[in-house]
Amino acid sequence: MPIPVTRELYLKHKDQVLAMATARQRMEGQKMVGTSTDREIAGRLGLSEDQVREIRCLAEMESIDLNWYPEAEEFKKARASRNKR
Amino acid sequence: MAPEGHRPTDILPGARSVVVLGGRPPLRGAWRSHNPRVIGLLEGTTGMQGLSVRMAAFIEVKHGFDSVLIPPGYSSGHIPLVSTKLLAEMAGLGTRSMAGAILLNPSHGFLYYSAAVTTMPLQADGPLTDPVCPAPSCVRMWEKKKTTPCLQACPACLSGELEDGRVKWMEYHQLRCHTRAQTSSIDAFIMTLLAIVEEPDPHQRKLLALGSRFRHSVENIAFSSELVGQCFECMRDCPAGRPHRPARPR
Repeated sequence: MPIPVTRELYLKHKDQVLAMATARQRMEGQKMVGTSTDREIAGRLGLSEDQVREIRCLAEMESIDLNWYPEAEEFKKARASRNKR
Repeated sequence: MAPEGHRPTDILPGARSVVVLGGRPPLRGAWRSHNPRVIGLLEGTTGMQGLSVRMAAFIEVKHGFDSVLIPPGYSSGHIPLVSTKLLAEMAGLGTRSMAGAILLNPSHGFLYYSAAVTTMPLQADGPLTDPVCPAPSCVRMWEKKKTTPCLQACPACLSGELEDGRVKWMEYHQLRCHTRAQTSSIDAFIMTLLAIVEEPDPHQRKLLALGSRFRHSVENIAFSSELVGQCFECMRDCPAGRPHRPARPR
């Protein structure tokens, strides 16, 4: 079953979708602000919820740098190595 | 509180109550280990989910009301179907912290949470009135250094500001955190799989496919081990729950 998102549609909306979703979360006081559900984003952009979901899932993964993984390993090794002292 | 499509009633029609459990924090030995993999071996979330399944069954068998586990994990991408964190917050198990809005319990600090939704009417405990974060020592640290233990530990994932002894704002980079908290898990697997498929150089392709990192991700997925909770560095120096963790050598 084809996913209803063309490359053009993805490129047009990926930054907007990512900015409105939960990739970057902000809390003011004790309240989370500024994030929206796929349904809410779909309403704002004139897309279907399914389209927003697929755009978001791809955009989330594409914004992860593969180099962050080895960097994470080194970060945690360095932090845990303090326990050797 | 929760948006449409992400409410307990979206899971169980006629839902009246949610019972939330908190527990299974990292063991002291895991905090003390100098091998960062150890703290990811907790299976804390799995254990908590088992407890909530049993609680849901207890409510059905003993009290005759429909009950079901709030599905753990994600419904799509990095978004849960229902936020257990929000449920725990509403149940008064903790308040949101500078550390990526992780809930901190006043007595235990970091905990894993799980929940069951039921048609049984129960009186709600309600959220806590006083925020656990920031602790007084964090406020003092902020006044001197303009940082807190969690912000100092992980500036890649976290930023924020205190004002008048309270959290003014906090920003959390969810996807960066995923690469630390789930370093060798599902995201790493599918990202590396795509890199393998796209790699034109045969030797580099072999290194990616047969190297230690991809193998580690495959092993974790195959054995359901070390899938979540692989990084607790924002929590390591957090004063909340400090009595339950060993002192860190300085």
